[in-house]
Amino acid sequence: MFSKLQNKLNKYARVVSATWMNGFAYPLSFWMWRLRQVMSIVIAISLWQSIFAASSNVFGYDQAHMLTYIFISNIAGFIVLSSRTIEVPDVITSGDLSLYLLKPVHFFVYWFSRDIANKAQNAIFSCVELFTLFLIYRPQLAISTHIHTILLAFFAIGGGVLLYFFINMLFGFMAFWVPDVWAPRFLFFIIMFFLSGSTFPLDIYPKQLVDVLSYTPFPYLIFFPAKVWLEQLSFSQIVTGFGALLGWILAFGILTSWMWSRAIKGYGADGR
Amino acid sequence: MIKWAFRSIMNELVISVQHLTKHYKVYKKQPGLGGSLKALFSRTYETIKAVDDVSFDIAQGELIGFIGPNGAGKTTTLKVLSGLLYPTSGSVSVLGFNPWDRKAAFQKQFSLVMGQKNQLWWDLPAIESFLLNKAIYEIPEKQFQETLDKLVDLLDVRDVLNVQVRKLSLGQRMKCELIAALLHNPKVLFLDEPTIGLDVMMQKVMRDFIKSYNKEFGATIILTSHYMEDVKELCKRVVIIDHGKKLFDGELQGIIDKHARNRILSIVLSEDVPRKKLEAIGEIKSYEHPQATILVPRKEASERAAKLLQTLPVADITIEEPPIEAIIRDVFQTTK
Amino acid sequence: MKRYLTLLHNFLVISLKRELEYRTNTILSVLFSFVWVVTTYIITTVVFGQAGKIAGWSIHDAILLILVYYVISTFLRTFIAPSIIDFSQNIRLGKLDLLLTKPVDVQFMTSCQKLNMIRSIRGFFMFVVLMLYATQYYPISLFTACLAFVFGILGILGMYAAYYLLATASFWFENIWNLEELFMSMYEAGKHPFDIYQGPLRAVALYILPVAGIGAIPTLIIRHAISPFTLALFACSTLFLFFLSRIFLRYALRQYTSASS
Repeated sequence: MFSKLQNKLNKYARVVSATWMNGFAYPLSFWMWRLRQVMSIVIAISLWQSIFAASSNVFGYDQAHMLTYIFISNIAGFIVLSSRTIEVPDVITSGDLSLYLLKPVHFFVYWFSRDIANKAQNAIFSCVELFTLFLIYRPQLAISTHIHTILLAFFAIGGGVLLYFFINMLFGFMAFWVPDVWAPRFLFFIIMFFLSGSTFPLDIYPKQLVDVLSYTPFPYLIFFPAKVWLEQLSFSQIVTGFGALLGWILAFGILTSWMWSRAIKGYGADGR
Repeated sequence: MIKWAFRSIMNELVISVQHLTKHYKVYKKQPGLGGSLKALFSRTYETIKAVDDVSFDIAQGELIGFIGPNGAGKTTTLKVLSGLLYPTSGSVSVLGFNPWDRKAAFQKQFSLVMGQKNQLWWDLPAIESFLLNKAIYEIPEKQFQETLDKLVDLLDVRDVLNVQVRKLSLGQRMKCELIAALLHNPKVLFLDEPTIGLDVMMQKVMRDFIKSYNKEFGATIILTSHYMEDVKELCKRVVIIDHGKKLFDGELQGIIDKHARNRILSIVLSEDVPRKKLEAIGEIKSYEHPQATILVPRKEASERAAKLLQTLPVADITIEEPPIEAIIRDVFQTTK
Repeated sequence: MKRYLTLLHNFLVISLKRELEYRTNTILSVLFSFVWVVTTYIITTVVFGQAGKIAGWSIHDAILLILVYYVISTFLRTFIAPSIIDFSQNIRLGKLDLLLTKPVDVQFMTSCQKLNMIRSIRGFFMFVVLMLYATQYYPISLFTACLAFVFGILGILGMYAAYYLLATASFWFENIWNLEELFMSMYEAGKHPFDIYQGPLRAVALYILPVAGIGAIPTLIIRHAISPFTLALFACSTLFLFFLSRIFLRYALRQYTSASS
């Protein structure tokens, strides 16, 4: 009984390790990707340092808190937003989906495992990079060390991870009905760029907009976990935040499961 | 008593297909911008009968060939047997399971190999993909090692196991794909067009492998192909499918006996002979002095051969069956 | 020379036809860049509203920079980027052989073959907007305008060369799918008021990866905020990069072996 569970875990552990190895398959490409991550952080730091040189309080943030936000949102960003599930549309349109259907693997768990490997790579390397940047810039940071804050942030990030996974699966499954998923997904990325808090805190926007946004899933990907860690939320805000996060996870989770079961039934299993 | 039980188990049907039908709805769209607009509101569709009332049974250890032209329904049948497609009507049972349920216990006992599909991870060495499959199929370590060793030796790929798949030649890649598909010792093996796109050497390797695999591992194998060579070499029993219908199910020789209408007289002439004289014997298929081939009706083959020998200067004569391909082509023609 | 012009004409026509085929893609692409421009503008306004001046750059400076940057990057993405990415892929897939047997300069063929006409119309439109904006808020003499234009071209050249160098590396490194991503982040660097980059960072951004400078230099010229020395240095480094890319390509072709099947 226990060994059955062990076998199942072993399956997906293998997926994780294969994906991990695969990430290093092209060293030059890999280092360019890392360079890109570093560059975007350097740009953000330079920008905000200049802004704060001119005025010491912007959008309710001082320099320390803003830079902290940059660091935290980057960490959260790397963990939540790195994903291999974006490959799912290709798997479907090419007909390779058949290969998954033939094997005793759960499609969702398989891809989640792949995501975990990707996130782990991102998290580890970005920690090293962020630490190096910290040593170079020596910014004043306001990172909390309260255990309960860290735990809450951990759960919030975990929630963000699940939420983003289901969102990606949703776009992936659209490939069953729409030949080119590129357009809607690209639109989503643009919206996310501005509305998830990954590049700057959403406090920049007027309050009414932020309130409206709290009814969408976007802020819960990065902005919410970062705010939790920055201890800038009241208790009731944290509770409602987690409630909304859970609600969105359930909504997307149910939607994607339903899409999957419908799609498989009508699947033509044809290859190209 | 024990013997009877043993025999009945031995003859147990591994695959049973009853009145399988699979229809597809294909939406038709008129070309151009106007057509696209119209399609938004109403779509006409036509139903394609990919498989139409097909039934057959297969016993354990059989090596069966499905032949038919492209689009005949062979691949669709295999996909239904694998659980990839949901039958429109009819019942299917493989190893006692309903394939469509896609139970893990079922999936661990069969394998579908499709010629063009690659399951190996492109940027990793083949062995990594094998280890992944080992975990997925929950193969015990000892069994995995034994099977792997046997397959690797059978296909002679021991030195490429640790090379990234993208660096392998087409032949090596294909062999590794095969191994990946067979690591879990499937009792039932479906091969969809296994020799397509391969050169003559590789085709032979593939056929030899299938033959050995059937013997060594005792697996039940269905292979689909539109190359007669595959079927001639490997399969005693053959199922002919065209336009979704089963046209024939039985031994290869049976097709010849049932459908071949002609026989071929291949002759070598010792002197020049005008065409007209040869035409009197039968339909000339080719005539390039000194060789000629003439088609004669089956029943009269010996008579006409005798007449030929009496009236014409013949140095050598052979009476042959027409090639299977031609017979099968005939079968398809007559049942259109 | 005439041959190349005719070829260029052909490429333009083919590209236009292709874009009209993929109508949805084209429309969406226009929509997206519109959304992008608008939101960038909004955010810039919002940030400057709170901050006043950033590293000595006023809001007008920042908007000018964004316009210059947009025009230049549109030019690159229209005329050059698609072909170079194809080039990189062709090397990887071994399809380059066909190209090499044709009697045309390889660099030309790989650079200009795939064009994006609709985007170029947007670029032209923004160029007009840029000129209007610049002349409204800044004193521009003919000399300044020409100088800015020349350095805009130089910047494009440098960017093109950098892009090409990296693509040529496809001969040795099999997968550079991060190529475009890297350039995306370099673009990002160029969008912000340039003086936020201090010290060694600034030197790198201006001379080693002139990418960051492509938007900045013409803007600085218009603002009369740049020294002739810097201009000269920038010109040298871009020209150097360009010749490097040609030499590198020739070297790569000599070493080239076609990828196996």
